[in-house]
Amino acid sequence: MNWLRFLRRKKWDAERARELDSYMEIEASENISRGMSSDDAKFAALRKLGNQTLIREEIYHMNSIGFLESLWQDLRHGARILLRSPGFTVVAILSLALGIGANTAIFSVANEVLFKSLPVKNPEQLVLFRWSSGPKLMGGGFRPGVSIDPVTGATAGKSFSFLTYERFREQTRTLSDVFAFTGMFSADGADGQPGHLSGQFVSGNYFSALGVTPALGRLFAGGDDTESANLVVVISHRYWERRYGLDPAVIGKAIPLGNLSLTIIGVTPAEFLGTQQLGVSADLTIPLAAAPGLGNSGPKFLSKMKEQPWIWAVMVMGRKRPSSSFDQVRADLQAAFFSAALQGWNEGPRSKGAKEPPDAPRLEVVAGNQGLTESREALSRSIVTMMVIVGIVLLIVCSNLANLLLARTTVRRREIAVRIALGGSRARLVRQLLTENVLLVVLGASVGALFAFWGKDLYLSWIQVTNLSFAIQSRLDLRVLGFTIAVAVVTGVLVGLAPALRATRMDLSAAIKDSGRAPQGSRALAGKALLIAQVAMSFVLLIAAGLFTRTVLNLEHADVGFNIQNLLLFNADPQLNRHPRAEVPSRYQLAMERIQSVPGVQMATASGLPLLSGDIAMPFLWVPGRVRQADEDSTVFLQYVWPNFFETMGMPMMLGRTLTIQDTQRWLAGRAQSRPYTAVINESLARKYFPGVNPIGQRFCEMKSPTSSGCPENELAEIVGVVRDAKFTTVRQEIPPTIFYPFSPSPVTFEVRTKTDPMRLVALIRGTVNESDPDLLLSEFRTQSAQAELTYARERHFAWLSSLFGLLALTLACIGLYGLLAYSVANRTKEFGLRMALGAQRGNVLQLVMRESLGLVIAGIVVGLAVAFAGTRLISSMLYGLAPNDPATIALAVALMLIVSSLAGFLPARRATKVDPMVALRHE
Amino acid sequence: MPKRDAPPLQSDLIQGTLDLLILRTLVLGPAHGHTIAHAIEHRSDDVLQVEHGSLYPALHRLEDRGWISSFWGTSENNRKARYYRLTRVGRKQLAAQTGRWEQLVRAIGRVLRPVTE
Repeated sequence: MNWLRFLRRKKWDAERARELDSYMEIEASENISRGMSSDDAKFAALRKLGNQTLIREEIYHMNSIGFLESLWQDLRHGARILLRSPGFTVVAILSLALGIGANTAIFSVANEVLFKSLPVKNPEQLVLFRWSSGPKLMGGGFRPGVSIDPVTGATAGKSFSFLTYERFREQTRTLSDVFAFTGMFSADGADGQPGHLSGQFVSGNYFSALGVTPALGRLFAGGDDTESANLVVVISHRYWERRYGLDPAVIGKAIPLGNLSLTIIGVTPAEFLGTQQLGVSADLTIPLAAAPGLGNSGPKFLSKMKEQPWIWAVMVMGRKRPSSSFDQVRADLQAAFFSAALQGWNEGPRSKGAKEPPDAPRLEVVAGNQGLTESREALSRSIVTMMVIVGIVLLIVCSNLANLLLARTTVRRREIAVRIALGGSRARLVRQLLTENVLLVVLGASVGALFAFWGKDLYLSWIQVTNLSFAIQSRLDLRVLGFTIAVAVVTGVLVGLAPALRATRMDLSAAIKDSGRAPQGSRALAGKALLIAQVAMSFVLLIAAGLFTRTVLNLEHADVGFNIQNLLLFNADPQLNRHPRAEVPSRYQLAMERIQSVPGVQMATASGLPLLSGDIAMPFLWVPGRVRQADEDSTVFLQYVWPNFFETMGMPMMLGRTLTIQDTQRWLAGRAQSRPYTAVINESLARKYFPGVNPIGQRFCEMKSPTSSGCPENELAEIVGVVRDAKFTTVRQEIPPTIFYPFSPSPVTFEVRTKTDPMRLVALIRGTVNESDPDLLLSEFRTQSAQAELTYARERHFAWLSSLFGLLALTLACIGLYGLLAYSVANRTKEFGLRMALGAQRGNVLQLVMRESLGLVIAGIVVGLAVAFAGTRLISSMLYGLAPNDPATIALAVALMLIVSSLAGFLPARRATKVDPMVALRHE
Repeated sequence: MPKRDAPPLQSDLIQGTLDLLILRTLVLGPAHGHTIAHAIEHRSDDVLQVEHGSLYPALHRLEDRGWISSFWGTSENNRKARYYRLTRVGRKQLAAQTGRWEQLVRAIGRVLRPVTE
């Protein structure tokens, strides 16, 4: 066997032909010299040599690779067959492309979000530290915060004190590197540009421990993370592109941040987005040592964390030695963690008078190959649901195609029978049919890959609207390619094998003699079973589509408790613009007054959090004299508001009075004078904590843990009013017990009630505010309804995609139904002719076919209902305002299914009524 | 022309034997297909009738194995022809196969020899 000769076998054949010609010439000339005539000589030579073509063929075969040779033949034959019925081919390839493309697109996102590790050296060696504890914490300021079980008060977190990080570095025997990084902080406007600017602090070994190489310049070396070092910053590739247009001369440039000036020393590679939550990437990465220098212009807790070991504000990761396990790492460092935590408690809370001994926290070690994973986990549910939906679509595509192919192979029985009769081997024929089907699937998969290339971005943009700073990329990498190929191969075998096997198992003489007979028994049964499965699956998808669509409609029309129309929101943050802290409240107040004067504005206010944004602040409530139930959830929501908040939002007071500027001023002075300050609560809180009592004049305070035992008299707040219930975090969420305080620390969101379309006032409002206070940075202008929509963007894209796929599935099922019936009608022409000859009316025949169609569809619906009842439970948490077995949705899906399938069945049925009895009977 | 008393053996010519004959013929020097065919007939006193056509696949097979190599040359009467030449491997093979053939012939001969008392 010789590959070279295989590839050049045509040329070889030509060579042989020449060689044989040369033999002929020599032999003939010898024959002539023996005295033969020229013609006789040639003829004798021919005889002597034998059949030249046979010789050449023999040599040609010696040169060819049998398998490849026949594969090529099969492919060409397959292509001819496909071209002969372009309608079928287009439908098949398109449906395959949609099925495979949708799966590839969703998988490529799943790959990015769920499976992919950080693009660093040996990511599987990375570990991330977390801790869990009882309700009494050893630390003080946690950034990022602590998650608290609302009933037991058990706590968990992933931030540690700087001291813990240092101890880990000193004492570890199982890790080759330990490194730390802080949460993200906003530095909007620091570089003098509009738009977001985010930063993080990292330990000096952050990049080297991860094994990241710079795209430009250098990353941190050991000396950068020391107090005495020059202040340096590494910028992200994205920031480099956005701000500097990829200018290589960026190295050495300075970025002012608060009181500091940072020198750019390098750029991280484009694919490295850091170890923060998915989709969040710091523009500026600064050594931890620079944090104290930021002072008031940076996050305060970061500047103090080194001298105050009770502040837990760094995330700690490590690279473990290949020989050590997660358990060994934990055992190695648990003692170091505990002693550092205890030291922090002794120096902090305890020295300040805390007496109760805290709970001992427990160290946890988890895989760090994806960095922080909460965002990934939050997305995984909707991605998995989507994978199931597109998986069902692909199954429908497969069964639809299998059915069509089954019908086709039946039509081709004659061709196949003839080939078997002529000695074609069965294996060879199965292979040939399989090749045709695989060819179809490969074509479909190729087009599908194209669809996926566009589809993944569409899908990504859908899931990204939920978060403005969200920016993940998805590439079609090797794993995605592997997935597509695997899907295509499985599809090809599923679709092609059964029809191919069946086609070759037949009664030859019957097939050749009688090509017009209907398929009997198992062929018809298999086709029907496939069709019922298709109807069932598309019915399930229709129900899902209906549930999601109605969920979105419910969310859009839900009563949120305040007037969502004509309300403009924007953010304001004076912090990085060198406003002294004490001046901030008056700046806000000035801004509000200015906005009120803009024509078209009715009223303006501000709050700590925008409503319906998904953001929350959740302390726990304590009411003096009230006994807390052991299993009670005493979580309350906290909202800081400026005067006119309730009036601007349209939330009427039910009891007492609203909050005024005097309340705000009392709050500002309150702590100094130790006077109780005022607050408004909502109806839910009043109902839960003051049942049957007039809440006005009652007192309470909020705490960090549900099991804390209250607070001193001078920290109590007094209730002055009760406001009507309104939705807080999202439209979907139950209205929580809520406290409103009359002042908001920075930054704030402004809310402006307008008389007309709010977005038309943006420029005017911005100009008016910045005229009096050019430093106040205003950003993210949006309407309240747009803000609310963001919180159910996931539901919205689910509704869209499931409707899309549901209709696609319905269409495919109807094509399948049409195909099956059309085929069956064609085969029963004789029978219909006979029936009509014997007196059957057209209506009877129509009924006959429609009954068959309806029977199949109803069987499919019944199966689908059973599946839906079991399956929709899984998505019940994603629905709003309806149960997973919502009767209206199911009725609608049944109606749609019946109507559309009747149409698909009617066309073949009508053809059955057009049968001319004479023609049909004479056909025999 | 074949002699009447010795009918040609061509149909019995076992595959492998033809290879051996070709190799043996080429020991004398490079030759083209026509020459080889005639040489085999001639040297066997026309007992071994080679169907000339079947020679070419055999030549191809031998070349494929590397026992002979080929080149285009000019024949005695000035015509283009493809010449074959024995390679070193081919020469070794010839020795080995000839030995085996002789063994075979002796063995068959022993079996066929009339039994002596």
